Amino acid sequence: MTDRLSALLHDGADAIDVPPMPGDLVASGRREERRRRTRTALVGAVAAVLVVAGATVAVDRWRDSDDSIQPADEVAYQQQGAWIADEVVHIGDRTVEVPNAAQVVYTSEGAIVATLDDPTQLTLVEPDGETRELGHLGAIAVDAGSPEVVYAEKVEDQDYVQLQVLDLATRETRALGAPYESQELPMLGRSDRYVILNQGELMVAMDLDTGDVTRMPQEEIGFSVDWGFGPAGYITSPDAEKVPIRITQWHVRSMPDGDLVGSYPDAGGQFATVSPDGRYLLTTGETSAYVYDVVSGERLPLELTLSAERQTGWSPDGHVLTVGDQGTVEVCEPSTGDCSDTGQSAGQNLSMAGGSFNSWS
Amino acid sequence: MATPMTDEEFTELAHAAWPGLYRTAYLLLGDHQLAEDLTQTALTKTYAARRKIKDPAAAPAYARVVLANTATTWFRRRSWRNELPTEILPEGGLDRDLSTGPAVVAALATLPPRQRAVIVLRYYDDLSVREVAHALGVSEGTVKSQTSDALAKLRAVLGDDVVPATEGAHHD
Repeated sequence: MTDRLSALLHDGADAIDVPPMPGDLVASGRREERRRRTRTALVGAVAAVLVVAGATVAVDRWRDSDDSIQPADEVAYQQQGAWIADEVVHIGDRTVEVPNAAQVVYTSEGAIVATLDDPTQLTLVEPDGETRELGHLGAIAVDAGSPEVVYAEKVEDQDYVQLQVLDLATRETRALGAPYESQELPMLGRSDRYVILNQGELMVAMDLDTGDVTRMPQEEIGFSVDWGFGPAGYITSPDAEKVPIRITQWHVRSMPDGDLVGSYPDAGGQFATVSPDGRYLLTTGETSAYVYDVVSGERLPLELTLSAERQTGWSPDGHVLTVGDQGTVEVCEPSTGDCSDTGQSAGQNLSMAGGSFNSWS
Repeated sequence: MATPMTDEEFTELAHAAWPGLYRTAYLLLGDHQLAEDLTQTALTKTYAARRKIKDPAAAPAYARVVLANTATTWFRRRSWRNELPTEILPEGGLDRDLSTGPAVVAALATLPPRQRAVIVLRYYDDLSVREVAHALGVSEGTVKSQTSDALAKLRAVLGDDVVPATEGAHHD
């Protein structure tokens, strides 16, 4: 029996010197909470013109379809994005009640909402306020500029999963690549062209069209990063291999080759996120948040004063969402620093959306 | 919606859970600084997730799962794949009395990180196979096979007295 092993393990553990608990856990917890709320993924450089062109194409397509969405709703969604305030989903200028709504992520067809009670049960909230149940997809990988949702389906009684791609526009599902040997949920995130997977101890990129797999560079990938991936890249830090991690600098790298796109100083909070369109990097400190142009590395005029209650998010087209002094959600333009008040209360429980996102946890 | 813990309730809980979580972290990592970092990270994440925890009594168990889960994320790091040196291997190796707690802890440090994790969670934290699978984000079959491999290695180091040969993957 292993009783003896267990007893000896307890004896050995009892002999371990335990240091006193740090005194600032609540403060650390608040920072973590804020970080989670602003959690978005990260990314490389995609020119704004591509996003604008993509949005235009989408509007044209919807205009001719049976369930067309008004351009005004689509523009409002792109510019203001979506957030959840006290279980009410705000998308563009519209509001939709989704009981227990807890988290929201972006696709080109609208925002996908998960609930607190069952995070695997997903609902698509479209820019016109219509909703569509997507069922139990579990962990998903999405991109704000794409209608495709990638999810993993376990092959019954085997240690294999099959990646599936659900196209929200056509409602068709296709298998992606061969069944994938894994005992774990394999997805880490995605960009516009790739889904990022664990393959043993390595990180690989699977082409969304062909299913071809490319091994990604493993350097500079740290556990403090929320595995953020975006339209053309991912975020790392040159400080990520140090133990313990104390990040002072962020890097954005292209996908899947890992070439350095740009380097940006951390604002002090050891947190950075890139807009869903790939244009901007936002980094937060204890009381401030700064925004950088990903390609030029230039710090932009928008500067936010933060508090535990004041969090940030992104709209699909790269506007920063935040909460103003009056407790309402504001939409800010990084390049000018101008913010406009939506007039919508942030409520007591606010959850904002970001870019591509790999997990609901 | 669940009523989240107050800061005072969380601080009280964290103080109570800290020693146990720290010891688990140390057994998983074999390094005091990393163990402190991991324990602090787990409690920080628990605070951030306190709205999800409907019963405060479940918070320590939640923190333990977060701790194990975070540790597995750390194991994926390149430096871990190259095997960090451990500070708990005693001088002179393991050729002394093997029936002591410190000897078992030292032997534990010779295991690969994931095998170490299943042994710690199964036989120190007394979690079931299912609970370990959940905490580590792997299948129950993986937990059983990793346990079997780990016990075989520990048996080779510590002998049959500490790890009897009848023990294997299917202990539950």
